[in-house]
Amino acid sequence: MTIAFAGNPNCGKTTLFNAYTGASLKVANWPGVTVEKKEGTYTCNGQQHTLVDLPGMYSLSTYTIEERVSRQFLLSGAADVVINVADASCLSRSLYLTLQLIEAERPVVLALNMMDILKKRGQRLDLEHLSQLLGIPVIPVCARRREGISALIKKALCADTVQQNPVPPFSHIPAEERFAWIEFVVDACLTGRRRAARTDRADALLLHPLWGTCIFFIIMAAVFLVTFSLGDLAKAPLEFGLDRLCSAARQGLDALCTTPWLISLIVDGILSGVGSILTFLPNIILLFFALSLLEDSGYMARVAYIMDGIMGSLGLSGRAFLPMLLGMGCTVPAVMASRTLETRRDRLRVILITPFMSCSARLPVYILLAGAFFGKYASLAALSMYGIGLLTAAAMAWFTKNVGKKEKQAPLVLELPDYKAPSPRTVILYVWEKIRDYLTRAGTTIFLASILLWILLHVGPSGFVSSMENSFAAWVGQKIEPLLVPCGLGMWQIAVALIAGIAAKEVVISSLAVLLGISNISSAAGMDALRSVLAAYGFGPINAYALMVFVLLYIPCAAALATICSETKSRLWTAGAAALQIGAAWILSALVYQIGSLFL
Amino acid sequence: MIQAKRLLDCQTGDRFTVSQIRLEESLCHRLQALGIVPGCQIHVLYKKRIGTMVIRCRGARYALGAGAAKGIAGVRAI
Repeated sequence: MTIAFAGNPNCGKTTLFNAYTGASLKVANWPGVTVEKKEGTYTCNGQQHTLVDLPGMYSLSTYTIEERVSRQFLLSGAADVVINVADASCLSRSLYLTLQLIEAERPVVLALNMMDILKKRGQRLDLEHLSQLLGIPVIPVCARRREGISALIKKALCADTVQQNPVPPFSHIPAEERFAWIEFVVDACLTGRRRAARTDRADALLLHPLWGTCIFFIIMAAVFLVTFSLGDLAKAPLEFGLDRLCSAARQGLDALCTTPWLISLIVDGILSGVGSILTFLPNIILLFFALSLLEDSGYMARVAYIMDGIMGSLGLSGRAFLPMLLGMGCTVPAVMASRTLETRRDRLRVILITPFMSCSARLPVYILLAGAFFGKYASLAALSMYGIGLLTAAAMAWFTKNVGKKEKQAPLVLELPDYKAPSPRTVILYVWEKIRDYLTRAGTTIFLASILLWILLHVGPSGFVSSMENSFAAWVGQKIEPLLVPCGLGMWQIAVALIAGIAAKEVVISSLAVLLGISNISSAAGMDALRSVLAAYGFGPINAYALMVFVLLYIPCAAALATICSETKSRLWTAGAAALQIGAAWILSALVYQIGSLFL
Repeated sequence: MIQAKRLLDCQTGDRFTVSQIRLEESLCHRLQALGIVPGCQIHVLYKKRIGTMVIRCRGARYALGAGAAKGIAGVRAI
C-alpha cells in the first residue's frame, strides 16, 4: 500500500514521516522546508508499505514548483490512501485542501496536528463531530512528541476499505462558498475564545519597522561571532590531539621501518590534510546549532518580511532572502530552496546570487587566515566576509534586475508560523546531520583530494620528485600563477590550493597544509608557521584578506555546481554561473589588494 | 463609518473586509487557498512604510507584499 502525506506547508508532514520511517529528513518551523518528494517504508504485521512525504501545498491549484510535484503525485492515483496532515491551530485554511483531497476520490484520513497549540490558546475541538461533518476519519496527533501516531497509521491502513461519506459536492462552487461551509464546520466543532498568544507579543518587537531590522542584523552578527569565538576555545583540545596523533604516527611508522614516501603520504598528506579540517568541527557545530535555533523557532519566515523592502529594491520579494540565508549553512540546499519562488526568472536570479553567500565550508578558511594574519581583529575580519558576500549577492541581484525578459515581480505571500521553543530532537538531528556531512566529506572528498594532491606534488614528468617545484601540480600552478598576481595571490601553491578547493572549500586549507608542509596548520604554532612561510613570499595581511575574498566568491564547490546544473537544467547556464563566480572573485580580490596596497 | 479602499491603504490595527481581488490568476489562486476571498475579514497587524504588511486572516498570520495588498479591494471598518 502507498500512503501519501499531504497538507499545508509547515504542518508537520515530514515530522510524521520521520517518525514512521526512521528517516531523519530536515524539519523546521517555516513553510517551504521540504521541496522534494521523499519515499520511505513502514512495516506493519510483516507487510511493507510505502510512505511518501510530499512538499506542502495550500490547494491543488499550484503556485510553485514544489507544489506541482505534490499535485502531480496526488492526481496520478499513485497513493492508495492520503493522510492529510492539518494544523489544528489553523483549521479553516487547512480544511480547504482537505475538501479538495476528498473530491479527488482517494481515501483520506485527516491527521490533526498541533492540538497542543489549541489547548494553550484555551480552545477545544470536537473531533467526532468534525469527522461526521467531513465524512472522513479524524485522528489527533502530536507529531513532535510522537503521540497518536500508531492510531493514525492503523486508521490509514484500513482506510481504503472503509466507506467514506461524501461531503457536499463542491467541484464547481466558488471558493467563497467553500470557505463559508468550512467556517460553518469550524464554528460547529471549535469552542473557546482565542487568547492572545506569545507570538503576538514577540512580533511587536521582532517585526517593528526599525527595531526588527536592527535585531535581525544583531542576531546574525551574534551567530557568527559566537561561532568564531566559542568555536576557537573548543578547537584547542582537537589541535592538541591532532598534534599528538601526527607525532605518534610518524614515530610508529618509523619504528615499523616504513619507507619515507609512505610516512610522508600518511602523515604530511592524509593526517595533515584531513586532520586540519577536523579541528574546525566545533565551529561548524556552533554555526549549525545557531541556524537550527533560528529555523525551528519560527523566526526564519519573519526574515522574509523584514527583508522585503531591501529585496524589493533589487527586484525580488522578501521570500528570496530565505534561500540566501540558508546559503550561510550550505549552498546545495539553498540553491534547491529557490524552488519555492514563483517565477523562473526569480529562481534563476536567486540561483545566481545564492553561491555568493558565505557557506560553512568557507568558515575554516577565514578562521585560519584571519587567525594567522589579523590577531585580535580575526573575528572582525572573518565576520566582514559575510558582509562582503551579502553585498556581492545584492550587487549581482541589482545588475540582473533589468537583464532578460522582464516579468512582473511576484509579491511576497508567506505564512508566518507561531513561535515555539525549538525542539531538542529537531535541533540535535539537524546538527548531527551536518556533523555527519562534514565528517563524510572529510573522509571522502577531502581524504581523496589530500592523497591526490600529495601524489601530484611528489610526481613530475621525470617520475618521483624530491622538490615539489618540479611536480605536475607545480606545473599547473605556475601556469595559473600570473593570472593571480593582480590579486596579490601570485604563488603557484595558492593557485593549486584554489583549484583543489573546487572539490570542497575546506580543501583549500588541507591543500595549504600539504603544499607548505605545515602539520597541524590550525593550531597556534601552525598559524605562526603559515604566517612566516607565506611572509617569505611577501605575503602579508592584505594578501591574506584578498585570498579570503577570493575563497568567498569563487565556485563554492563541485556539489553546488552540480545542483545548479540540475536545478537550471542547463549546462551553459551553469558554466556561465561558474564563470561569473570566478570573475567576481578575481575582480573583488584584485580591488582589495590594489586599493589595500595603496594604504598599507 | 465605512470606507471603500485597497488593503494597501490600511494602517496597522485596521480591520478590513475583502470585496474583490484583482491580481494575476496564479496569485489569486494562492490567496484563495489561504482563505483570502471576498467576504473574509483581515486584521492588519503590522505595516511597513513600503506597504509590506503582516495580516491575520482566518486565524493565521501572513506576510503580504505591497504588490499583493494593492490588488485586494474592500471596506475598512473604522
